[in-house]
Amino acid sequence: MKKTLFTLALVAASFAASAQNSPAAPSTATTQPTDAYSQLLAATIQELMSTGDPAQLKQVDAKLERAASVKPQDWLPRYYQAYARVVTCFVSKEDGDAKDKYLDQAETALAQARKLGGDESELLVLEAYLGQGRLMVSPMTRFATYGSQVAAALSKAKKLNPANPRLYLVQGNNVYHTPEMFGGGAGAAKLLYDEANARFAVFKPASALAPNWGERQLKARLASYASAPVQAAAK
Amino acid sequence: MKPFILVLLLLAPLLGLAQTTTLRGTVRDDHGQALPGVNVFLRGSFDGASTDSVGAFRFETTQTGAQTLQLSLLGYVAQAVPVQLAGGELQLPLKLKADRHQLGGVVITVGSFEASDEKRSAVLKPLDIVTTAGALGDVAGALNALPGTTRVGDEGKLFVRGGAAGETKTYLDGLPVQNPYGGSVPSVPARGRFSPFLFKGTVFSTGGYSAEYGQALSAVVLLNTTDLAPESQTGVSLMSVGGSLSRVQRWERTSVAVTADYMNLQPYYGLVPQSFGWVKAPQSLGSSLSLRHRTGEAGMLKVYGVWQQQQLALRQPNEAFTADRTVALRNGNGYLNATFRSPLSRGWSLNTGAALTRDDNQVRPDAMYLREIEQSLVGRLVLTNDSAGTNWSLKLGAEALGQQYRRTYQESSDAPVWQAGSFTERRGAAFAEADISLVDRLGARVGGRAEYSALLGRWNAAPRLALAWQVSENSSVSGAYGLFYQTPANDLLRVRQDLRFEQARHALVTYQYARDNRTLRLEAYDKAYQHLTVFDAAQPNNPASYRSAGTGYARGLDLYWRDRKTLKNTDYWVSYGLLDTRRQARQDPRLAVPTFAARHNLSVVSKYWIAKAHTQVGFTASYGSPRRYQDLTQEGYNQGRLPSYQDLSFNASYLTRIRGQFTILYVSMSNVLGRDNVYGYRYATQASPDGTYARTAVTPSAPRMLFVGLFISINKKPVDLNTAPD
Repeated sequence: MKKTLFTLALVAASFAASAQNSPAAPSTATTQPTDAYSQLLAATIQELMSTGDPAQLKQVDAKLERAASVKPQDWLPRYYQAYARVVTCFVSKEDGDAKDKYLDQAETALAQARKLGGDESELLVLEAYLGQGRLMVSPMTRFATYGSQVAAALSKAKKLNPANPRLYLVQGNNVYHTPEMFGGGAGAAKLLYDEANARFAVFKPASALAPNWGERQLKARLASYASAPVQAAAK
Repeated sequence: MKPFILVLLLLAPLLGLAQTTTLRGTVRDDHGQALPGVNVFLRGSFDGASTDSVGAFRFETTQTGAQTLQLSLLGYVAQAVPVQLAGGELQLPLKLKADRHQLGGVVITVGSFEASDEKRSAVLKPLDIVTTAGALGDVAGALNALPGTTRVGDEGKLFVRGGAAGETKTYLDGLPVQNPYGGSVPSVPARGRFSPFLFKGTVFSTGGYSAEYGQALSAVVLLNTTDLAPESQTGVSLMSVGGSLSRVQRWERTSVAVTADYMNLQPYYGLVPQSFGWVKAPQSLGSSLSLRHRTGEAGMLKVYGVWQQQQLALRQPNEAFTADRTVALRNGNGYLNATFRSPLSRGWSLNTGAALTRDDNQVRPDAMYLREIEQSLVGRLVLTNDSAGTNWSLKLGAEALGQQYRRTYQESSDAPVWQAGSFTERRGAAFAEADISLVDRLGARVGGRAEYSALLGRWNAAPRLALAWQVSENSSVSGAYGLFYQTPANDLLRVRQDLRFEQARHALVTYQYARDNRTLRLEAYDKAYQHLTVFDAAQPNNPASYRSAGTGYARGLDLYWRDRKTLKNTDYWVSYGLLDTRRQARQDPRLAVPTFAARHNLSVVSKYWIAKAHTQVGFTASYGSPRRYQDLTQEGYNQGRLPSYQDLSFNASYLTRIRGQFTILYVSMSNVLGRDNVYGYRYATQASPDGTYARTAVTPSAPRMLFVGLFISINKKPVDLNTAPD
């Protein structure tokens, strides 16, 4: 309740900035899929990971819809659809209402993925990422609801799988945009980014198609620390 | 070589070699407009495409035979088209129908102001209730900064569009609240019983509301409590007028919050001189318990109980103005509200609940003793189906109320107790309402409500209708019409029970424009009253003098402009209400402008965030044109004019940490400029020997009210996301 007030301190624009760093391409370390479905889905994921253009993201969304029609029991198309929609919200230049609509759609896809028995730890991280989108739309009024939802989703994700590197990345972004006086700031976030980095180094996705995004975004963040050492040394 | 290839190609279909069909076409909507972004694909395959900016698509497939072409676009009904694939090119003109239900684009905005984080149509945020300067954390105080209201300083309640305070009904989680305000005596403003922090959403509807709500002639305030508390924490509040403690415990599916608060204005009044002769400064002691439990995926059980005791005593002139006397108030109130909501099958969902109230109000002018006890139990059940049909949703509900009221009077403590009227009411109501999407951009809400009152021995039927037309993406026009009924107030029913329902007819039309953090609303309304209870002022205890013969009207124009964009870090709104009203109600001998209505009402509310200082400052400037009063020295009725009401209030919230715990320092001051506002005049009941009537001005207890509070939220680490909320 009263806490809501300090959301005033959260800066929306910086959230948007964080999302514009193009997300990482999926790892090629794991074995390539063989069947047609997997190959096409892999190509679609590749396309999703390499674009930050709202129009193209919508195309990808449509392709994922097709993938879901081919294999309605697979949670991955729905998961990536949710991800695509969250990213669309972050990169869109439209007004808050339009952004909220993307997030509404993302929520629908996320719920579908959950129903299909998706990896709960990854779903929670995406849920937190989605919550950050909600926050970005209206930080002043939404911190009370979404701020704690984001934190709750991340802590649950951590309980399920502390090795998931994405949760530290999303957490780091959250801390980065929290004012220093409330325990946030670049310095505090750096610790989480470092943690994410260490986790990414040893992370092995469950399959070639399983969630494996975030590393490129993280590298970009860490690189910005390297180019602005004063800020990094603040802690 | 070339001829060979040609032959091979021609033979390919026969040879059963990879056969490619090209599908192409354009997708249009009902009006023939091309639809971009439609996902067109063969079901069960990756083969497909999205339509381009002119609605065209083209893709190739190696599938053959009978297949299903799937079309989907958000906001449109998904379509499946059977196709026969046999190579070559297939030209398909396709159409998609708008899914009116899913679009839900047409929002009925008429009449209501909504504070919500969740709904985009909301023009207010829940935080606004708390951060509006001059509201002092009171829900009614904040709503008084919206158009359609008149500030009546000596009452502190909501007076909407020429209606008395009792014509505005408060609903808590859908259940009507019998005593939404704390106890008070004349000249001392009442405060709402519920803290604004309890609510995630508030709707203030100043007319034309849904059939779901009854027993309100003028307005409804819908308070929706928060769901599961986000995290465990302890809250400590230290205020210039008291203090409170709270503890919230959160489990996976359950949260429990307990609060205790104690207010005492004595120390403050000791420091700041007051014009009222306080014998006992207002004091209150209260505690509350709220329980939230999530059942299943979307079910929620809520229980909220609050108990409060308040006391005050002050010196006021007696009725004849011959001497001062002490008027003491003691009020005890208990309220328990339990609700449950859950989705059912086939699109239906259930909302049900019950609330229990007991209010014991004791006023003691000198040795006299006036006591009112009211108890009520209300239950409600509502079934909603958001997808009853493709173009409409349905809401059905029933409500039942049992109420007991008793007033007793004693001349002095040893005098016999006189039963000054009592009654028992049993009232039932049922309603049905449908939201219908008529055509594109035109929606309607059609409903009706029927009520039966055993006390009055009467029933009523109230039709309600609203229409909304989405003119463009950012603007809409909506209108509403309806009949509204209310049983007469307790103090009228105690004398005579076979009265009629009081009735109001609303007709209103609204234009709303909202774009990019700017909102403009204009609303014109016309309200006609019938069957208002009137009585002879000379015989207030004679049932024969009570009749349901009063009438009245109220019409006017409300304007609201809010802008969160133009000025950086600044959010401001302007609300203005023009009101023309007359009525004959209660002791009024004829149609007259009521004392609680001001013709012009203006509020300017602004909030400015100073990022570097972690401080939000706010100002509220309000103006109310002269209200009427009954001037006994002149001919006529309600012909006197008070000075205009003017107020400039200020508040500031500074965010900081104390020992690592998140803390807000809050300061507010009302009437910074120290204007001498007069809320009315009280006249002696008897003329003095020289034939004149003595009078005294009703004013606030002090020109200014200063409030300082320190609110500390204690949890392990305020913003540390590494730590899980327990």
